[in-house]
Amino acid sequence: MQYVRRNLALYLTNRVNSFVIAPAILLMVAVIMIIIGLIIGIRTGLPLPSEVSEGFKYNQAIFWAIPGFLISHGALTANRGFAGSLAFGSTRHNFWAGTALGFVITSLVVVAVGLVLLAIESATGYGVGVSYLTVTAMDNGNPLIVAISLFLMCLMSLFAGMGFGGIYRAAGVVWTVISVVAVVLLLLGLIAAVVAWPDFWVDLVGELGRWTIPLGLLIVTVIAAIASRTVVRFAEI
Amino acid sequence: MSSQAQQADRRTGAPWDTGQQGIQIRNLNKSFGKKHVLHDITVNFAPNRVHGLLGANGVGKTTLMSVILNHKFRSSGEILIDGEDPRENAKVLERTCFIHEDQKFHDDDTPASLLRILPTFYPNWDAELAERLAKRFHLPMGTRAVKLSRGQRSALVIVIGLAARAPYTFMDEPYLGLDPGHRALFYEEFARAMAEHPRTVILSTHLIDEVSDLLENVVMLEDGRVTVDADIDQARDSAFVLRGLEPVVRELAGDRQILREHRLGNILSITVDGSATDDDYRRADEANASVEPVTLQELVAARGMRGSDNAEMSL
Repeated sequence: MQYVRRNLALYLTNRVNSFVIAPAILLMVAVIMIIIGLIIGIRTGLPLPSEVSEGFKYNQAIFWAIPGFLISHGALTANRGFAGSLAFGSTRHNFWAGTALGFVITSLVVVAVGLVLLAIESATGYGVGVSYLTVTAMDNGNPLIVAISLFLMCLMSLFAGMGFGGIYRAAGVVWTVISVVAVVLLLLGLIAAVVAWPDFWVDLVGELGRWTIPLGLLIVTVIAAIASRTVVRFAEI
Repeated sequence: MSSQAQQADRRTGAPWDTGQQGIQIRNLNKSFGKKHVLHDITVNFAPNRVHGLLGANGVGKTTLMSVILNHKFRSSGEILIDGEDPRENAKVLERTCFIHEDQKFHDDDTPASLLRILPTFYPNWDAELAERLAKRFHLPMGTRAVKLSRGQRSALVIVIGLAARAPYTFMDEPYLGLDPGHRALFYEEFARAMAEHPRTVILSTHLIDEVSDLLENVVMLEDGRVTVDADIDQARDSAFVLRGLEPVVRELAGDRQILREHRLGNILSITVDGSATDDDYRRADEANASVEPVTLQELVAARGMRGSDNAEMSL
C-alpha cells in the first residue's frame, strides 16, 4: 500500500487541479444558469413562470460542465505524472492505482460541492426558478442519484483522459487522434442504435427508471478504468 | 550480498552497506519495429561504482537505461537488479531513480512541491542536501515546471538525483542545460555525494572529458552494442594517439587498426586500437613523433566514427 500512497501523494501535489478547478467549474455553470434565468426573466418576469421553470428541468448543462476539464486533467496526469512516477521508481501498476485513488478523491470533492449546490438549489431555485442539478435526468434532484451520477461522471472523465493521455504518451498524436475518432464512432453507433430500435431503449429506460443515468455512467466508467489501466500497463516512456 | 556493497561512510566513518548486488544484463535486445536499437548486450554494472555510459548520439544509451528500468520494454534478454527482475517489481524499482535532462513533470509541479513529495518515494532522501543544492543552483522553488528554463530544469533533476540517494541512480545527460560554472558545481556536489554515500550510478554523457575524473568504470556503446566495458584506466589504455609527420606516423602504426585520423597541416594524429608498447615509445622518440594517451573524449569520438565496424575490444 505504501507504493500506492506515494503515487496518490504525487497526484495530490497538484492541489489546484485536483481539488479546486472542477468544483469551481460546477459553481461557475450554476452562476451561468442563474444569469440565463435572469435574461429570460427580462421577458417573462421573475421568478420565472412555472412553464419556463419546467423547461429548465430538461437541461443537460450538468453533463457538459465538468467532463472537459477532467478529461484534460486525466490526460495531463497520465502524460506527465506517469513519466515522473516511473522516474521516481514506481511501477506502472502502482502509478495507476495511486492515481485512480486520487481520481476518487477529486470526484468526492466534486460530489460534496455538488450536494451543497443541490441543497441551495432545492431550497431557493437560486432565486429565479432555474434547475441545474434538480433536473429530470437526475431524478429531479434526488440527492443519492445526484451524488452517484456526479461521482461516476467525474471518474469516467478522469479515466478517459488518463487513457487518452496514456495513448499520447505511448504512441504519439496520431494514435491519440485515431483513438478519439474510434470513441466518437462508437458513440455515433450507439446513437444509431437508439434511433434504429427506439422501443427497446424506451422499455429499458422505463425499467431502470431513476437508475438509468447512474448505471450508464457506471458501465462507461468501468470501461474507461479498464482501458486506462491497459494503456498504462503497456505504455513506454 | 556482494562484499563490494560494504563500504564505510567516508564522512562519518560509520558502516555504509547499501546491500547492492549490482545490475546484470544478459543478451539484451531491443527493437522499435524493424529498427534494432540494442544488440545482444551483455554487461554488468558493479555495485557502488560510478559507471559512465558513453557513445555517440543515437547509439542506444538512453534506450539501455530505459530498458533496464522497464520504462521501455525489452525485446529479449535478461536483466537483474540485486538479483531480481525489475519488471513491475516495486521492491526493486523503489531503489532506483532515473533522471533525464528533459525529465517530464506535471506542468503545475514546482521545485518546492516536488521536493516536498519526494521523501515519500525515497526513504534515504537527504533534505539538507536538497536544500543546499537548491540554494547553490538558485532554483526558483515556487516556479511551475513548465516555466523553468532549461538550466533550471537541469538543476532541478540534479537536486532530485543526488538528494534521492537511491541505491541505483541513472542520470541521462542531466546537466546539458547548465552553464560551465554550474556544471562545475554539479561535478563538485556529485563527487561529494558519492564519497559520503556511495551508490551505483550510471551516467550517460557527451561531456566526457569533463566527467572522466568522476567515473570509475566505462561502458561504451557503438551502434547498440557494448564495445568497451572496463575500468576507466583500462579504457584509457585501450587505445593511444600517434602524432607526427604522416609517413612517420603511418610507419609507426604499421598494420594496427586505426580508429581515427586527424590532420593539422603536415601533422597527422591517429588513434590506434590497443595499448602502446615500450617499443612504440622508443621508435616514436627516435622518429620525432609522439605517443600520447588517448582521452576518453577522443576514444569515444574515435570509436563512434568507426561506423559499422563493431568488433568487440578485448581489454
